[in-house]
Amino acid sequence: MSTKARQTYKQSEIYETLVDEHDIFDNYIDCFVFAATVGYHEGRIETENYEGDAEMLWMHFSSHDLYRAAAASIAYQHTKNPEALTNPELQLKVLAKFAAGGAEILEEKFGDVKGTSREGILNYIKSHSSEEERGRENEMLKEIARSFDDQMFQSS
Amino acid sequence: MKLERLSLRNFRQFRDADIEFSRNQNKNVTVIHGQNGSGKTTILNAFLWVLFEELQSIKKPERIATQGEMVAADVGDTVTVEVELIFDHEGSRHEVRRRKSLQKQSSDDLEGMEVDGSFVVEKITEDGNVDEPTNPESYVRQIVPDDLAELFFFDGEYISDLSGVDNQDEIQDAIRQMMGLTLMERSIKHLDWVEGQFRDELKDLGSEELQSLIQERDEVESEKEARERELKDKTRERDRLQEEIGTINELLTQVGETRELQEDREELESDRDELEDDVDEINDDLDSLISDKGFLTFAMPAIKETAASLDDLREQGKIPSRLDNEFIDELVEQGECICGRPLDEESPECEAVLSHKSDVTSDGLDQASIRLIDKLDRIRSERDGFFEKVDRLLKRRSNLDEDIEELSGQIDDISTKIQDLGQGVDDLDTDEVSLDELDLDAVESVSDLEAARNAKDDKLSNEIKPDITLLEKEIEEYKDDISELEDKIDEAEDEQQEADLARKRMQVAKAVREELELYYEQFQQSIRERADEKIDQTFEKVATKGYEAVITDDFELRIHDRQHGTPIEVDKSRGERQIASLSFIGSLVDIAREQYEADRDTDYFDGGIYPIVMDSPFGALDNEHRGEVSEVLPMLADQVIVLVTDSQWEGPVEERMGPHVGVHYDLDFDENGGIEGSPITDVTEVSRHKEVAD
Repeated sequence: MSTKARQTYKQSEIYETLVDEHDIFDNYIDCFVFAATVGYHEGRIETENYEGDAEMLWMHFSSHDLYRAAAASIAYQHTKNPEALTNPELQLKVLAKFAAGGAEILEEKFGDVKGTSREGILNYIKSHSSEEERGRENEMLKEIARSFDDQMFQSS
Repeated sequence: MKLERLSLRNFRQFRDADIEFSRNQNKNVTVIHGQNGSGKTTILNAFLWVLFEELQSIKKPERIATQGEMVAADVGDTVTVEVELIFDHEGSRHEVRRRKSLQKQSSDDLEGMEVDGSFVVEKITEDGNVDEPTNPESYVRQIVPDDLAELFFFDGEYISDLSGVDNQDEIQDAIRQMMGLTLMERSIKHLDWVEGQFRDELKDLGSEELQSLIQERDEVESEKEARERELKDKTRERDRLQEEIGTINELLTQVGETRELQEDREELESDRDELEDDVDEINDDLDSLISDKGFLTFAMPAIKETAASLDDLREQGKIPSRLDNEFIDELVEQGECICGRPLDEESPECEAVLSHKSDVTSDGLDQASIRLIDKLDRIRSERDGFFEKVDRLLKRRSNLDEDIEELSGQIDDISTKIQDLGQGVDDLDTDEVSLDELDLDAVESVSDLEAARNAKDDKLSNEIKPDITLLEKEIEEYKDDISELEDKIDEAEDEQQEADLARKRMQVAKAVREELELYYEQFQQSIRERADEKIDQTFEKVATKGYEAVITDDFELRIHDRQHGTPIEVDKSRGERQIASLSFIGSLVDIAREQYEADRDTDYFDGGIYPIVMDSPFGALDNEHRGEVSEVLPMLADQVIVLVTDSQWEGPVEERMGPHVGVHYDLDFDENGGIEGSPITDVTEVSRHKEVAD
């Protein structure tokens, strides 16, 4: 897998707010991925004006296998192209588009918060996932993993 | 350049001919006799063709190959045309060869189509080394500038035009080129261009941006310094308040009944500080959780849908088509399957997994799918873990907040109790404490001290400390801004340095150009005077008395009436014009030779040895002038080759030039003597002077 993939992205003011001022995110990479997933979840994508001076390198994801799983899934769902599962350049590009949309949402919700936006972000996350829903999703994911597992052993 | 031999193979009517030129200093003339149409002009063109691939004043120039050879060739056969010129130049023998292979295209094709060609220059040095210049065309032009070739290899019919009013450009160009003036002109023009380039660069590298950036940086720096001063004041105030509170605390412990309360309060405050630290720690943990795992909730729909899609593909049997060997090896090495089952060495499970190894490399989709499915359990667990940890931390923080609130209540109670005591301060040892230092006018009771303590604590917690936090943050932001501006300033300063450099270079280019222009004026004048003198000397020897050849200030060749000093337009038919032209060419060759032999130290004009090759040069001259020119020409050039008809040669020309002739050749033209009745010219050496033969 190519580790040289890179993508410029729009690093709006909310990045500085959440990373440097509020210290919520450890770094801009975490904030970028969070913004991208928010953008995807809320269906907010910026297809034109999503590039900027900042640059996201695929190598930043090298020690974050869950970031890679999220990137592949979002890119695949957005493009419906199987290549998206294996193409880091395409994944970064799709993430950058959703990140630009997600950053707008974060700006709207937390851009003017004085002090810390910690409680607001926690509430925001919690509001998008009930325990019941998580239970259903867990069962579904378990079943899929089990099906793959069974097929692997049966076919041997 | 001293010509040694010209060889022609299948070149026009010359099927196979060699001409060896006289190179003897005293017998420096080679005469080639030929009747009209016998090939004199073709030989002149052979020089131009081999050196520059040019043909002039020749009928059907597209027919380079010998007609007989083309007629005899079958369609598709090739005829090779070759001209070789051997000459000495600056101590080295040069062999210049141009060759073309022409393929016959049809039965009546006399031109042929070029299918191959080469141009080779071999330079053989005195010690026998052979060099081949990488760019032979350019190399030859350095030896014989093509602009001057028409002068050195000239056609007699054309030469009379040189001194005509309409052809002065060629005179000017020839003098300028010969004397190196064109090189100087190009240098001046180039310097002017360079100056313009640097001027444009200067416009692009203006310093306004730098000034603006420096001003902005100074303003931000000034703001930062103001905040730093403010921070310093606030920090001092904080330290002072903390010290004063400490002093009051100390005083309170001196009073009997407040001592115990004060000690309890200090303990409670210490406990509260610890709890507040725990809350800070929990908040940090919450931040880390949001940063590391917060995205999972929002990514889950995409992951879930993708997993479902992959599961569909699996059900359809599209994946896994095969598994990546490396991935299987990794699983075995880790000792655990993607489902979590142990993969002990040689166990049935391990064998089952290993059986998926394929000799065919996976196309990546299978691998990506398996990797994603492999992550599902972890994604679930991390996402659930996120909510569990958040809930646990929030609950713990809530408990801590309650504890802190309770401690704060107890601390407040103590404060109230102290204030309510209303005890006098007789026991206080206030000698060591200046009330002024505590900003107190008078202390009558402990309640006064407590009130003062509370006021200070309130100011410290609600005013000074937040101010300090805010100021520190602002200062950091200013520092970031300054750092950013300084990066921009560095970039602008680099540009400024480039601008300074461009300005200096422009000034240097201008100064050099002006110097060169001045020198050019002087050099041009001296060149003109020298050419004028030499041409007039030559002209005087051969022309009718009363006339003089003049190179004007505008580098035009004019014939003047010597008696009246005014220019006259000599009739075209008059030999004076041809004489003037011959004088001009001969004089230039002579000046170049003088310069070369004198080895004068000028960078622009080294001079050189050039031959004069003349085709029918005496056509328009009467016998008297023919004789005069014939006597002078052998003296002007190191080597003279004349192509003449018998009638042009006989009489005064033979009489005056004859003593200088080293070799005689005859061109024997036979209109039907070649292959299948085609025209052909043989070259025959008639005589060679014994001095030359030696």
